[in-house]
Amino acid sequence: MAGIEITDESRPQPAPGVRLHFDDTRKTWVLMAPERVFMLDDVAAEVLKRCDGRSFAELLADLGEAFSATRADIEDDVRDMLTGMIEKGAMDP
Amino acid sequence: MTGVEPPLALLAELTHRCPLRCPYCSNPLEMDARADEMDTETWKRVLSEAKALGAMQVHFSGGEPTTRPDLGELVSHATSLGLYSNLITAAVALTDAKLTELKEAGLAHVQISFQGTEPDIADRISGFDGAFVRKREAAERVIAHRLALTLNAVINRHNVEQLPVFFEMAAAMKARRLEVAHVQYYGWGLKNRAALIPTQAQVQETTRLVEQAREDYAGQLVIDYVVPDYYSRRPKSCMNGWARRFFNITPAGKVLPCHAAESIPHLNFPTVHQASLRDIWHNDPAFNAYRGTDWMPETCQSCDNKKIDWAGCRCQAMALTGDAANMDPVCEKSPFKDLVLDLAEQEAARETPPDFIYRESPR
Repeated sequence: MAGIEITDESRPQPAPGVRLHFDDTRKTWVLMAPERVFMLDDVAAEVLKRCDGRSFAELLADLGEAFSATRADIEDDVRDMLTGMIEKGAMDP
Repeated sequence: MTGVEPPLALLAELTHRCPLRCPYCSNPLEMDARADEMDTETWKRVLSEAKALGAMQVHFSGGEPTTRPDLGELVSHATSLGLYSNLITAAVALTDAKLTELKEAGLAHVQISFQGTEPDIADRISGFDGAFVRKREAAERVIAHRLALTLNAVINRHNVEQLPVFFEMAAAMKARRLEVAHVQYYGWGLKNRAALIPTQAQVQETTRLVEQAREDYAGQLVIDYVVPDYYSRRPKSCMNGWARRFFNITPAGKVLPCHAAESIPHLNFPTVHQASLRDIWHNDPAFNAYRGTDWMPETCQSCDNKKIDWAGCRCQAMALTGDAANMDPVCEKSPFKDLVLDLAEQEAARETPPDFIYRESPR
């Protein structure tokens, strides 16, 4: 989608009113947003837990360390997931 | 019934009292009086039961929920349970003091309805002089309090031409979400349908404008879109299926699968005074009446869309065909489709629509 670009210096964070939350009933991480809920898989949850103001480059380095992966292994998937969340208005770049 | 999933959200109608008199109000024609409204402690128990049942969000609504002095206390209780709180408000009395209290209580999001993009039309539709200006000021205060803001643009024949201005207004107000919601023709809306319904050409134009705006405002504004589905080929997935994702609690404590469900006369809905929400959600006959696909007529049973639109809306089937178990009559497969389309087209074509029958607040 036009206009959404994540660079190494981007600091993806939840959009206003969006909160990361662990749902006890469903035993899953969710992103709570205005009048909607995004159910997260384990990978998305690990990424979003780290979207706390750090840069995209730092985010990839941290994920790589936590899951013994190289940046090349994970960069495209993480970027696609975050871009999708930005398109849905759940995250800001 | 086995395999019933927990609900995602609860619509808490705290009161039917409201300063606005919108002729399409989603409240029932018969409203709960102030004397019958549940007290604070009962609402808190209900919120606790909703969370235990699996609800993740609560929509505090009404009527006008800020007319309840205990709103902050209820939001605070919801927050302590881990529920996400939305406020659905007319916002004509949303002061700085109230917003401060609600923000401290953990409120996450405010949705403000707009009846137009300027005072003339907006105030006439809402039946409240000065409503538009007050709402615009309240929207600014919501942003100043760093709360997430949604604008809800309620579209009908009187304001449909203002849609492009709604996009600009929402962006200028720094709302991150805009609901372009055509009036839905139930209850008060059905009563006023001839005064409100736009033409098919107008609806098609709003669809085109929404699609364009979604591109123009990508990453800036999320746009939700609800059509008046009389003109659609397929029905909407009403409530995402009967008793599947949501439930509604009225001011007096009646528990409903949707806010219009009481328009189905043969169903008896339970109250929070009679049973727990868990028992109601899983076992109540009215909740199981149209749940899943087993109840559907044969045409729906054999339709590929049955788990997409869930045979549409039970209340619309009731209102327009006299039987809630019929498929939604707006579906092109319904024998009632031509009738529904004729009704809509004839009413929308009237050069001078009838006057509004305004909704008046209960005592």
